Amino acid sequence: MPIAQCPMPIAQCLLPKIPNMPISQKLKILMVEDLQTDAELIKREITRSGIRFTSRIVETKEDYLNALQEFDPDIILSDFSLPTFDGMQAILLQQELANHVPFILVTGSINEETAVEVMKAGADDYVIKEHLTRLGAAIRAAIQKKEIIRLRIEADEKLRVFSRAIEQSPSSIIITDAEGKIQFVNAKFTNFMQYSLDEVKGKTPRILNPGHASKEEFEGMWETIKNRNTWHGEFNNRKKDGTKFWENVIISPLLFHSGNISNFILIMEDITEKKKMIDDLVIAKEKAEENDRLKTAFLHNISHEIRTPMNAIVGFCDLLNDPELKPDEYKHYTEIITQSSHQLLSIITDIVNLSTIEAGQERIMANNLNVNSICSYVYEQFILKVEHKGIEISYNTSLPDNEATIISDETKLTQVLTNLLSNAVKFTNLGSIEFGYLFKNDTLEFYVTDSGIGIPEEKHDEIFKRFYQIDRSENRQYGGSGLGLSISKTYIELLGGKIWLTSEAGKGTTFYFNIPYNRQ
Amino acid sequence: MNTTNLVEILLIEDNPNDVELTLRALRKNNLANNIHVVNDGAEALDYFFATGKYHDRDISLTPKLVILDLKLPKIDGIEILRIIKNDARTKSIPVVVLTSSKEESDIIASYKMGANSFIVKPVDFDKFIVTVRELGMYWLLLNEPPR
Repeated sequence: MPIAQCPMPIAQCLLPKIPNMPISQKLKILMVEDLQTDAELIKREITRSGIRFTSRIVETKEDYLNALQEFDPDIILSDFSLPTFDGMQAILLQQELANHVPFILVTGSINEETAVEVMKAGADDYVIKEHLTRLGAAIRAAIQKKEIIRLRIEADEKLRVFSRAIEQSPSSIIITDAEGKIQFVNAKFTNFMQYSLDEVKGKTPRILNPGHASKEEFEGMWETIKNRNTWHGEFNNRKKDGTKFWENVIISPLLFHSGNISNFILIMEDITEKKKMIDDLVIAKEKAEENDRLKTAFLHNISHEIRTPMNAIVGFCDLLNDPELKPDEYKHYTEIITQSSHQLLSIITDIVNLSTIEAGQERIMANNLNVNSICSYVYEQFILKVEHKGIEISYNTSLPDNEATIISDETKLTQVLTNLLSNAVKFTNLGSIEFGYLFKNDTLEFYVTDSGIGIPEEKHDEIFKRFYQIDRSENRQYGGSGLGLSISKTYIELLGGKIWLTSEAGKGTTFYFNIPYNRQ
Repeated sequence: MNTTNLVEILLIEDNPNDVELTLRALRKNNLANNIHVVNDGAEALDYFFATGKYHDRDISLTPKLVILDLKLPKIDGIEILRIIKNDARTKSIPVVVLTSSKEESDIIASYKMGANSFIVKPVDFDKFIVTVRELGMYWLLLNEPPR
């Protein structure tokens, strides 16, 4: 019977069924006999004992071999001595070619030694022709004996397949007793979990899960399987060496024929990889959603930042058409328009820079540059802007001009310094701004120090994010895209350095960044 | 000090350029003698509820109209709207929301919070006047015409 169709518990399937005698089917009897009369006598005796049969009679080795093949007998009745053949050859050939077929020696009186020889060779019985009345019972017994052996072999083979299936299963398998104590674990389990059978035998599978699953979870599981149901679940289990992993676990009760639980079987599969993949997907999805939100926020912000100066331009241009406008009003409005236009231009520049960065197309244009010249150039740009605010500005260079030539990107370096100085000017109403660089450990460490409003410690990371402005009310009158520091940070990282700051609220801020001191 | 008690239009706007444009347009249309400007959300609340620097203002003298920018420092416009529309002392003051974009979510949120009208910058005064008229307040706010 195929295992899959086995309706009973496995153990019961495997028990050999003892065939009921009398034999109901028509037996195929192969007779090795040269005497027609003896053959007739034997047949008559078999009929008399109530066995239905067909028969074939052979007397040569060749016919015997053919009959074993073609006739496929249920039993062989063989005489001992024939003209060209004998019982000993017949039993040896049966052993070699058809040892599942019962073999009974039916012979005239022979000496006991011969009979013993044939029995030793594998015959099931021998019947003396003078006492043929015993033949029927002998046939029945021989067939029954062979049938039992056959069923036992079959059952053994089934058991071996089942046990191989469990032992060599690609899933870890535990078999426990009805109390949940481990009785057996398969090879996959011992290899994977690193526990030997001896180490876990008699313990509960809960030792694999020290403190991860809750008590309620275990109780729920136990309740399910005790009620003869299958439990599915996932456990974050631990191997002997402490490695944690995720396991998909199926626990089924095994039942006696009576319906009582004999064992539990736990089939477990490592799903750590699968779980990691799912987690990665979830993270990727969240990241994509976050990017989407950021993009929307970006567009919203940028739209506002562009509209603010744009509205001023449109609004004040409109006013210029008023014929009643006084000259000082006229001048005031054109100043606002000019200032707003510059603001708009710088925002657009920032956006273009940022989109180049975003597209991953920002490239370093490395050339010889002189950092002293850059400091001097930037100073010239800012001295004019801060004059009217009453701010003092100064700068320091720490290398002589002939040593201040390095290979870097002049445009980006200038832009970062300009950004930092613009911020310093924005947030300083009175006081001083100082910038410059120091030569430190083969790097140039630039600094921009102001005596402005300062930046609270908790904001030090955030200000490098896009659109960050600490208090818009302080900033609004100067405008700005809120992108400057974000762009500066990217540029400095592209140049092989980093940017950071120290600050004290109310006292001022120093921004630092370093770049490698690369000479040709 | 008394001038703040006679406020007819309260303009809540942080951007100095927008303040200037709005004031000029209001005057050009002979609207309101007495306009008071506050520059952020916190100051606006102080004004409405006579706290902070407005502690000696007479709270019963409410402005006839509020023009409210949505993007404000400290406390944003939507939040101001929510607070004044949920307070018995201020809920009946008409509010015209002013914003720099037609961002749909802003418009929906403003109307939900009880804004009476919505004007996109740069201020379209034809629309503003229509709005004020619809609110039945045009004559209340209109100055004596110049002689």
